[in-house]
Amino acid sequence: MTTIDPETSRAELQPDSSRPLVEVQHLKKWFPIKRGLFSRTVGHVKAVDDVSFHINHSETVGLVGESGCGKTTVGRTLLNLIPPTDGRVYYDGQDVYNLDSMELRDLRKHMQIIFQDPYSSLNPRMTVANIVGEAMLVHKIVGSQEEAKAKVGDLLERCGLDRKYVNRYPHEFSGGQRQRIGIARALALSPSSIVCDEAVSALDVSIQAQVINLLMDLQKEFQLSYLFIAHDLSVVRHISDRVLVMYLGEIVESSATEDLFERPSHPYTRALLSAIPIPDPDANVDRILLEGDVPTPINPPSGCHFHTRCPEVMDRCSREDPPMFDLGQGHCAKCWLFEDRFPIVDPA
Amino acid sequence: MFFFVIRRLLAGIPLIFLVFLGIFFLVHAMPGDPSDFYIKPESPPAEIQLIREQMGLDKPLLVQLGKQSWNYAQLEFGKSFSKNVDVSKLILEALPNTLMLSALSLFLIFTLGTLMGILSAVKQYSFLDKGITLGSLFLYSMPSFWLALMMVYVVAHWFPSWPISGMVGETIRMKEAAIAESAMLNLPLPAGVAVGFWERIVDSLQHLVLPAIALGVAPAAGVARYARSSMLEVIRMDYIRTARAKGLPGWKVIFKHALRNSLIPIVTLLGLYLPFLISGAVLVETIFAWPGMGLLIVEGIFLRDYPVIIANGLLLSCLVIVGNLLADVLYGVVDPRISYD
Amino acid sequence: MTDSFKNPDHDAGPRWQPEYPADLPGIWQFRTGLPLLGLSVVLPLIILLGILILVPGRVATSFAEMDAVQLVLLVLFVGGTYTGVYRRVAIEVVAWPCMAFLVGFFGPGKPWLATYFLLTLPAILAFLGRKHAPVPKYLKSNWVLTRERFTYSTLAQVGFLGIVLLYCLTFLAPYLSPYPPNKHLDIENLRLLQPFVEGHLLGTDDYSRDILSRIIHGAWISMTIGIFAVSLSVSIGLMAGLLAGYVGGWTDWFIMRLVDFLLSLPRLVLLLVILAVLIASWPKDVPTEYRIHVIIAILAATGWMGTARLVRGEVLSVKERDFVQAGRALGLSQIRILMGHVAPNCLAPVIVSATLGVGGTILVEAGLSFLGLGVPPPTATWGAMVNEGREFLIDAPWITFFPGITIVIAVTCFNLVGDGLRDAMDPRLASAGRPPKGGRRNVAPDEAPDEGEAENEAA
Repeated sequence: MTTIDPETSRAELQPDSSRPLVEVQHLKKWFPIKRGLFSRTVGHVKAVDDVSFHINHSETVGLVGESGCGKTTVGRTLLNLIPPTDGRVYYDGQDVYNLDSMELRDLRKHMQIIFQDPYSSLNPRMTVANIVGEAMLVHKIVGSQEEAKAKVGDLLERCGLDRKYVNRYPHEFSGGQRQRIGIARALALSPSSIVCDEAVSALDVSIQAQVINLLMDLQKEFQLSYLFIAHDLSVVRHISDRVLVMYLGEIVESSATEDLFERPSHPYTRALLSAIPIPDPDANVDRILLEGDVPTPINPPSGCHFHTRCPEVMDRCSREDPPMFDLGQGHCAKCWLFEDRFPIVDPA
Repeated sequence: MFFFVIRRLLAGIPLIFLVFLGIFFLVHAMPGDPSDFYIKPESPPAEIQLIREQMGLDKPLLVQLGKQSWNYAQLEFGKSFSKNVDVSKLILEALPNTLMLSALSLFLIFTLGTLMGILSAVKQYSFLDKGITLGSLFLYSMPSFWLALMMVYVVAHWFPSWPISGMVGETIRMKEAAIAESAMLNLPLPAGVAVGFWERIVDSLQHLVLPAIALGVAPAAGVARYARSSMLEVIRMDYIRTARAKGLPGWKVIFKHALRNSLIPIVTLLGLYLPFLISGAVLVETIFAWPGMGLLIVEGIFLRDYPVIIANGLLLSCLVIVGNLLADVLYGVVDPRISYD
Repeated sequence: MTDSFKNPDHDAGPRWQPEYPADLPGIWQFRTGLPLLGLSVVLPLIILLGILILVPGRVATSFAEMDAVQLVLLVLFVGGTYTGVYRRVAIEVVAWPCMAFLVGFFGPGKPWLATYFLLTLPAILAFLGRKHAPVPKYLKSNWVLTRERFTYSTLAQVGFLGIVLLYCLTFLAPYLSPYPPNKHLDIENLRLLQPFVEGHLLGTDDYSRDILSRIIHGAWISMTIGIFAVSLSVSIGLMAGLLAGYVGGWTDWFIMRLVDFLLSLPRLVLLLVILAVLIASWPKDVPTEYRIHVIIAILAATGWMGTARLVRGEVLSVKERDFVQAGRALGLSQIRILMGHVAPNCLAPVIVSATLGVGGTILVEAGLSFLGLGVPPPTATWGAMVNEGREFLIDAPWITFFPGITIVIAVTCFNLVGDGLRDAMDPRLASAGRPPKGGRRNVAPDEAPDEGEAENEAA
């Protein structure tokens, strides 16, 4: 819902809590492969192949999957950093892909991103004040550089760093500190939704815990919603309200967090969960080992993309791609196993 | 591979045409009458008329372009102002000489440069290394024409019998003059006057050495620096360590394992140096009076001999384009990771 | 635009104040183990004093000969420089381009320009050689760190010193050269004099012109053409590369085809043909002084391709780095991202290749002068002098030798500095350079952590 603020005559997005904040409908991102003298397109890397989900206000949605399944692409396409091949994304009712440049710029204030690699996500030639505060100046949230610096100092403190760091250059900071600077930068424009693209994957485990707790505190304080992309299931379990499991460009299961871990339904999810290390050497673990390698997204297998490695594969799986079945209580899975008992649902 | 070469050769043709186009427009864009570039002043009017027709100088630009391109494609470059011979004849005589010079220089650069570079890398931090590094820095900063002149000075003072100019030595020239004279007067040849095959070769090489060194020293120094850093990188690699751990003797390790890999960037460098070599030949040939294309173009400039200048410029560019192609092919041979399909 | 926030000298705490006389420019370098940099400040000052002591007459004459316009410019220029230094404005940005422009435009050897330089030299040295606050490493920008690493290499500093002296030579030529460069001193008695003869350190040439004076005046041509041509070509190359790399698509394809084409041509041959044709059809009414500008333009036009390729490669890799994506996510405009984030991170190899390029350009220009296609006579240029000496090479080699060796020295200095910059900009590996043994005696309090450091290190 968009209202006009009578004081400033600027259109302000007033989040309406009754509907999801972010709705993704049938998102596709195919990267063309070019060969030959004239760069003919000979194929596509189907990084994201019909993905639909939603994110509610102040909610953390975890997105998990193996490396190369397309999770990072989902995150970046969501923000229109990569233009999509097909599909729609609605931010609070606004079609994100159909905005002109001014509107897109305004939208940037509401959706932000935190990157994975703390060493390449900060411009080495800028001071921290500049890195975090540049956007504030550009969007005219602050009037002068002194004001910006003061605000940056506040943000740094909120993220657990010393105020004094505003004048420093990034090259002497540790990974954890850099990630905090990245978080401060994401918060600079007071967004309501942040994509955390493997934001803790590159950190030491002890630092991971600190940063995750920081993210959760910030969520409570600023009512942020997160799309938390990761490949570490235990981290995702700690921070997410709901979880989406991705395989080869598709979402194969989505559910509330605890429900997923108690009743994993899709064969892939079950295999993933059985692979989580248990810190008890005597525990009797029944690991489901998947055979074969992950197929390439250039030519995904026909029918259900998982059928080449699925321990419960049936005849039908290689011919027809299953739809999403609603397993109740917000739990959905994309597998022919559930055909008989559950209704089909369109997650969009 | 074969098709790759054919394709590149074909791709080179429009490139050459573009150069020609550039020169054509340069000549016409200059203030002044473009005919001055094709017609020698003080020519008899009949000849002027002939050339005007040949070059289409009275017709519209496009027609001129067409006519002149056709002429050039047939290797018809017009007549030299100063020497009154067909330019194509002059070029045909000069081209092999320049190629000889460039080839010898290239050989020198490659062998000397890589050797120095490798030596310097293998014995890093020693006096030899520091010496070679500093020396090559110095040599790299030297203008080739000055080095040539200094060499001439040294040779003239300490080795006065060594030839410092031209391509053919006194002795041979006198012999040839004698042979020509006796042919003219229908006299039998005096004894011992025949010019032996090896004699000619040795003589040519003697004349070739100094220009080749002058031309090649600076690029050799550049290659040495590059080879040194490339070799240093390769030496630190794990597979070299493995070879040493296996017990291979030092030199075998270097030459069999390290060399091939460090050669790859050097070969690319050689390709880059080719235009430099051709250009540098201009200055060196001038000093040593080596009768090649460089001397031809410089003389042409001094004598305002435009047909020579233009044709020569075009041909030197062609040489470079072909040279780059050769470098690319060589690169594919040396680096097994590259395939041409 | 990059760092919009001024960086105070220190995080907090009392502002550092220099202590005199220990921190005077020229003195502090010797005290902290940077003798060559100290010489770069001290030697020009010595030259300055030498001029004032030994040839004050010439300086006075130049004042007397100035017309009203030049006097006014003098006051403005000198006054502006000293005010700027006093207020710590970056004079490098303002004064030097002005100076370069003046020199380039009005030609060599003009005493009034030399006087400008003479008067502003102390201010320039004081500003450029000033001591910066010893600051912990985390407050040092990449450029400052590079500058420091540059000083680890002795050879690089030698090259730097050489360049400083060469430029002093260039600008102070009218005062430094013992004789006027083009004057036939005594064509009967003094021609072809050997060097080290009284009064003529480097001998005289066939027209009894003093070689040393000609070399000093010839510095102007080489140094000016070198810097100007390279600046121009690097600017063109930078723009082309940024455009090609960032915009991509057809622009990229077109620019790269153009670059490939131009690179496949032999530069000297191209220059020869173009210049030959140009000089032949030089319009009568245009004075030949402009030939130098034409030469600079053509040198720039044939030299930008390497930079363009280099920049494009850098842009392609920097474009993918996360902070650029972050900039887009934050809604920064494309121009701002290109100029403020991408471009500054692409500059490192450009600076190296530009410095090395000056050396190369000096060589090319010398070659052109050697063939008579450079700046027209009687202006002394090093290449032309080498050519003039050819006739007398066997008997009077000094005419060829000294100009040539000067070329070698000048190019070597630029190559040393270029190499030094390249090494300084690479992420330093353990085996590569370290601070010299015996080291710095005034290291910043890096190792002294302040109170909050320890706990924040945990994060």
